[in-house]
Amino acid sequence: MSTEGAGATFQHGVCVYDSDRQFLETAVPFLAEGLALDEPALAVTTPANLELIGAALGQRGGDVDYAESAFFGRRPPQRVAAFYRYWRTRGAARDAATPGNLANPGNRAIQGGAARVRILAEPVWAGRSAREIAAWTRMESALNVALAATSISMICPYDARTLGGDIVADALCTHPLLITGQRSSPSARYVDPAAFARSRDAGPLADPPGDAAAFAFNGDLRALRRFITDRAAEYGVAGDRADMLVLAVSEVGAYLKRQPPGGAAVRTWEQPGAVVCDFRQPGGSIDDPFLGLRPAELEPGDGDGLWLSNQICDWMEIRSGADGCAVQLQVPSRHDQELAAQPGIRYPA
Amino acid sequence: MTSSYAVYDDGVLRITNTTNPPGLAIAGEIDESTYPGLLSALQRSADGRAEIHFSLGGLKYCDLAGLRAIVCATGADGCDGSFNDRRGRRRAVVLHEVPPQLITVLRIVGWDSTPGLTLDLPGRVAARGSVGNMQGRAVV
Repeated sequence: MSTEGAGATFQHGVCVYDSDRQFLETAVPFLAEGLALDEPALAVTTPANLELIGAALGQRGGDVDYAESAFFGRRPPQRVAAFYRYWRTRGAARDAATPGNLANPGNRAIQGGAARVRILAEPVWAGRSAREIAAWTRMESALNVALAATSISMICPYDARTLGGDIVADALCTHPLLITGQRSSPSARYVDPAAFARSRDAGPLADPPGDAAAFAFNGDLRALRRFITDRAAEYGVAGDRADMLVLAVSEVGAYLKRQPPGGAAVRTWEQPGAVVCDFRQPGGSIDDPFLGLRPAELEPGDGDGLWLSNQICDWMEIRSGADGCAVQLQVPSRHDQELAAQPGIRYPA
Repeated sequence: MTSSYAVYDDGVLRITNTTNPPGLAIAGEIDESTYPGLLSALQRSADGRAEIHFSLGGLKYCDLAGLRAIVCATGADGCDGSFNDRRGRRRAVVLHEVPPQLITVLRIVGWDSTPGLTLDLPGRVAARGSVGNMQGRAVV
């Protein structure tokens, strides 16, 4: 994919490959050209593909930024944020270092104007549940909106040897560009992200169990925080995790409070693998399918608080229909051992 | 850090002036109900200063909008300009006693690298170019 003269536009292509050679025919020139143009280049893929890239690039490969896919954004919202963070930090650093860059005197951070970066981004699909595959597929489509203002050139490799046909077929709908070798062409099957989101609108949220704890949120955010603080203690969620749960819940409450009719029925419960908090707002409506996915900036934007909740939670699902709208979020229960095994795995250190 | 009198206190959020270093001690809860009080205290305190210190040790809750207001005392690009120095200069802002969850949020949202913002974190080696005269304290 040539990035010359692309300006501040997000470029998003899919490369379906069925051999190591085919993978390398796209990945290596894409990354090597980035290095030659002094564009930061990041490879986020499987350990096997990272080894292939390293061997093919040789000494040059030392300048490629890299990450194993499983550790670069645990859930789709965190993945979007990780891409964005890379562009903001590496693109801005590169831009600031360019001699004679009149657009950036004094080495200031870039607000929406970082230099072009390249990202090879292969999602992990193996072992995922149907719900997760749907969420990652929706993310591939939503990237076209959430990252629209960035100057990221992204190629997403899909391994036809291991992936189901549905996943590959969806990739042609979620990426505006098809990449074959070094050639780029429009994907005839590309679907507008809003239309794609509507077509994949997931079914209704699970109903709270009968013994869920209930709270009538009337707009008093402090009362909501007291409720969720008590519930967290009840579920054994403590310390930083409890503080972050309170923050996620309070931001959702603040969003629902601002939109008519305000207030919500809140219920919480524990289920295997999660503490769940459920908001139902009869008569409410949330139309934006990308709410909570656009990265928050110093300049305020609609849904910034929900974006933060999305970063904190393992899951946050938003539904809107004739009866009203609902937001359901999940955080790890006290039985989660990942954080104990590897502090910092869920949040940037 | 010595503090003097309260510049804002509604029973939920209490903000007091500090004199050494100059700035504010912010304690209590920040959400939309206390945001206007926070904003006006920040603006009055920052006005005319090239460097300001905020002590956040007593902060029990701070939403994203409140954190943005604190960070935007720097007058960094993207902020709405309500903190801009009359001569358009930016401002050094040093955050002290930052609660752990706020450090996490700053890192999630990427505002920890805002130009002009310094986090005074215990146990860190002072970075070159750090601001303030924080003898005996590590400033990164």
